[in-house]
Amino acid sequence: MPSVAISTSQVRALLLSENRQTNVTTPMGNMMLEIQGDLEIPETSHADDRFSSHEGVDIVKFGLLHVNMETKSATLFIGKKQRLLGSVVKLDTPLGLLKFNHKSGTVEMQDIFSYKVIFKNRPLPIM
Amino acid sequence: NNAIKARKSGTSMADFFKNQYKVEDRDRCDRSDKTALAGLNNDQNFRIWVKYKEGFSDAVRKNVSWHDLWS
Repeated sequence: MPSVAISTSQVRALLLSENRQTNVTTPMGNMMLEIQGDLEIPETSHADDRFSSHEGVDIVKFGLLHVNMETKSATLFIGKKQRLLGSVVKLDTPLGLLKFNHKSGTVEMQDIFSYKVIFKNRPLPIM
Repeated sequence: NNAIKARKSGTSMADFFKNQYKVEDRDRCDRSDKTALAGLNNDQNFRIWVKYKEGFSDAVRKNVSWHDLWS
C-alpha cells in the first residue's frame, strides 16, 4: 500500500491568518468557474491580440468576467458574440485544490475554494 | 417589464465590454472590401464560443485507485 503525506504549508498560513475569503477569488489568487457547456477555443495560436504567451505557455483571452458580489450575480462575455448570465454560489462542501507532483512524488494542497461562479443558462447574444 | 430592464442594462454593459474588445464596426466600414473579407475569414478560423448543454449530468461515483490520482 503506497502512501504520501499531503503538504499543507501553503494553505496553513492562509487559514491561520484572519484573511477570510469574501470574494470569488481566493487570497491565493485562484477562482472556480463553471459553465454548463463546452468552451470551444482554437487549438493553434493566431496573429491576434487575444493570443499571447505566458511563461512558455500559449494563452488565449477567451472572455471577460464581471462579478457583482452584492447581488451575487455575474456576467461572462465569451468571444465576440456570446453573453452568459450566472451567479456566485457558496459551495456546500469547500473544495481543496491538490497538486500531485509526479517528479518529486509529493502532494501539496494549493488552495481551498468556498465559492464558485456558475453559468447554467443558455448563452445570450451580446446585444 | 423585467426582461426589458435586463436587456437595457445588458446592452449598456455589453457596449462597455465591446469597447474593451476594440471591436469597432466603424473601422470595418472604412476598410476596403478585400480587407474586410479577410478579417471575416480570419474570424471564422478562430471563433471562440460556448457550446451550450441542455442539461446537467453527474456520473455514478466510482472507486479511486492510487494510479487514478497520479495518472
